[in-house]
Amino acid sequence: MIQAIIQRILLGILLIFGVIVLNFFLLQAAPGDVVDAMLAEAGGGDPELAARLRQSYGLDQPVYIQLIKYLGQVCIGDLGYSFYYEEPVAKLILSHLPTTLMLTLSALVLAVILGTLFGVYAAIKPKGFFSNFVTVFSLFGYATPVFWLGMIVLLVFALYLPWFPAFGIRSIPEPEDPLERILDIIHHLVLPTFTLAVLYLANYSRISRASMLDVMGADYIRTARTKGLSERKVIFKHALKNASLPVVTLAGLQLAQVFSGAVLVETVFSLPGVGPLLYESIMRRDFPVILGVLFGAATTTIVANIITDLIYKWMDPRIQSIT
Amino acid sequence: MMFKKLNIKMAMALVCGLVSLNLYTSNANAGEPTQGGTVVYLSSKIPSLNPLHSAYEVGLVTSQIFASLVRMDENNEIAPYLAESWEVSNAGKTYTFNLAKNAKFHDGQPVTSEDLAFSFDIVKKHHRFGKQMFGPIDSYEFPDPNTLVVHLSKPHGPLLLAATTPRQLPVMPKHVYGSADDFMKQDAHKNPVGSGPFVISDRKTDEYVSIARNESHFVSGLPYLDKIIYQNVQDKTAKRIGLRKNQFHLARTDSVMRFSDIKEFSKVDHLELTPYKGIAGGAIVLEFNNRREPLNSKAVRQAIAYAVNRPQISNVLHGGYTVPSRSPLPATNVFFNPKLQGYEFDLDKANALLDEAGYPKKSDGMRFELNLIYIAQPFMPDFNTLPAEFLAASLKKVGIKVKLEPLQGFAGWAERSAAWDFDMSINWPGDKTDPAIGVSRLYVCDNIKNQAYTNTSGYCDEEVDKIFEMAAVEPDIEKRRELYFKVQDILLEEMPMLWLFDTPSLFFNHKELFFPAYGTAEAWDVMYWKTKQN
Repeated sequence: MIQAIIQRILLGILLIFGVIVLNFFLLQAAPGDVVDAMLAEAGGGDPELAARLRQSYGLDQPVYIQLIKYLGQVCIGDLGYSFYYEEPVAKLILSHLPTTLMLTLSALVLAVILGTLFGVYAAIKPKGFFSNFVTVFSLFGYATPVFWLGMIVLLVFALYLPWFPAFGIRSIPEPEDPLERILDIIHHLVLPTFTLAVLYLANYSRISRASMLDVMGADYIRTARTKGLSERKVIFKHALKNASLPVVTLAGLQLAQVFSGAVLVETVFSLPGVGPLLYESIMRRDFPVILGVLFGAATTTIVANIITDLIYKWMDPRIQSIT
Repeated sequence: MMFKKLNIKMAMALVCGLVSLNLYTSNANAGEPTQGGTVVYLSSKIPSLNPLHSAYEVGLVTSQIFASLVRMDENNEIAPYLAESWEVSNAGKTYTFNLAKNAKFHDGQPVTSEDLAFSFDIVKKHHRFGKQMFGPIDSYEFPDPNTLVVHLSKPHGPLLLAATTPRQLPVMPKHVYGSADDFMKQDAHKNPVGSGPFVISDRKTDEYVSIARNESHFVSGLPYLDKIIYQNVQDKTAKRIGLRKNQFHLARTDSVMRFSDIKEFSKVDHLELTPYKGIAGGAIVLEFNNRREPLNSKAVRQAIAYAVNRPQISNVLHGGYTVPSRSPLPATNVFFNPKLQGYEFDLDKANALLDEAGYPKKSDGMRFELNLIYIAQPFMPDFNTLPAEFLAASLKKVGIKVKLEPLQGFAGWAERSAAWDFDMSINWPGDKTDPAIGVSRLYVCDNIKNQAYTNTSGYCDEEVDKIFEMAAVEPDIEKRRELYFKVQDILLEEMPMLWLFDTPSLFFNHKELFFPAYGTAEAWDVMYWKTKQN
């Protein structure tokens, strides 16, 4: 088992390097470079200066040399230097990560819990009102463009009913008291978390409803009922444990995405997260930052996959994916 | 003299009257400056605090942290700032600057002639227009810590104008910025030290930058404000909500809304629309690739100019918030010739010129096809997508088929522009205050380079070159004006590009806030609340 995990990890590292190389060449295909973007934004500049900037950023060298240099850097844990932010990439990403994690993790947890509950209760009476509501709500959540939902949420809960702030992660100036400071951040996170959770929720409630319906017809559920167990115990102890495997799969997949963040939600609510950082860097052709974020995302994906596999095994001993 | 004094007294009385009236109407127009208060500016991202960074919003902050050598006053004339006085001698080849003796950097060290010379050198090397602004600077003399003598290799007209804003000449302490090997990569940019009216108080990347009053600023009594906060908001809905709810006191309209929405927002009670009345301007131009057929024909270029109803773009599509360009220089430029009117809209003339030039309409009613590159939505559609689509429709009427090619972002457009790979291109070159910095670069032969915002149209004319060169080295402003008037005439006739409309900067500010929209619009040390803020 341990040997298998080590094998997975080694394979993961190889995969990460593969992803870096692929990303590197993909970025070369984008028109223009960071110097073009910078000078164009500033309304022009001296061609000699442009040449000197390219030289100092190492952009004047052949692509394969740039790639080898970059890989060498990554090996010693250096993700490079952002041309636009004039800061080391690792530091930049780390400073944007807390916001993103707070947002995506809380939305994910909220969605998994609520979504599963929705699904379970909908499955109890598959033709009932609540079940239909869950179906319609899921469809709505699934089909709504998240930026549109964000805009509507902003208009309703920040403008017409001014209960929540429309932008940012904290008030300026921040409250002095640490507790108030935390409450302030939570207050700022309510709308974006809600928006993102609605999007996620749709998936979880649909999947857990379907999978519960599947399981509820199984023989062992009938057995549990004939044993005289309470309905509550049957559903939550016997049915849900098996029905939640697809939910775990989905959560695992989404856990992989928490790193790169929710670009649209973070942008609509002006949160200083990784998503807008990535977007901005793509627009500015700030390659080291793009590569850094993609590197982080790839790593999270692979780690999340390994963790999902382990959870699988714990939940369903029949699964032999690791060993 | 007597009359003048009386008038001032009368004016004062009037002002006082208005102010006292305001106690009841609570709507001040002419209030006296009050000390203190905070202004929240609706900003985009401020990635760095390097005074030479390329982002516009960075300059808005560093212009308050750093002081420039001289500045523009409310009449758009050059006024003292760090330099108390200056003298030009030796036929425009020697400048002597006397620095304010009480000027100090934020770390308490005095501002010396060494620092000024250091700043000139850094800007010359690292600023995007360093060479055009201060290239001819040859050597320095340091008679004493407060006096700098600058020797030029040739007279250089734009020198003083270039030194009017900290965007172009931030005076930096040599003892802080001079130690790093690479000026552009150093820790001092995290915590900049200047001699300007404000000091950095707090910063969170991609959230906000907050600056506070420099208590020992060398200009006594300034700044008025205690604090300025640059709050980054990305989403337009959130920006609009914030502006409506008075969470921002100052914003550039183009970062919040399109021209068509300005009228609606002008109705918001606490907001006031202030057009910038400064000296730095720009225009959206339709650049022709002068190398390619049929655009290498002057008649064709002129025909296109006649075929575009530019007043309709400005007055209808832009709701009157832009102005049709009348000359290669924006109307805000010091050297603009106010007699010029530009090309009128005349389809018959356009058709006749095209016929004469040897491009008759074919059986499908079209003469030839041209491509048009521009930056795609969502980047400033008022300046890119909208005019592009309007141009395509206009030119179709005279038998020119336009193939629209929207490109992704600055970088996508800049690459095509640099490769000269276009027939027509929508371009937005600013004049950078002085034509010798921002205008001649688009027309002179030796700036035909593979780089955006150089002479990518490939236009080349010896006489134009000569006039631009003469104007750049001419120290006398009247003589420079004559030369620039002449070059405007030639360029209007030759039409190497079509100047579509001038792009004024518009700001929304709180009605109670005095916003200095002159000079380079960044003299925020003289910004003040007309009523006392808590």
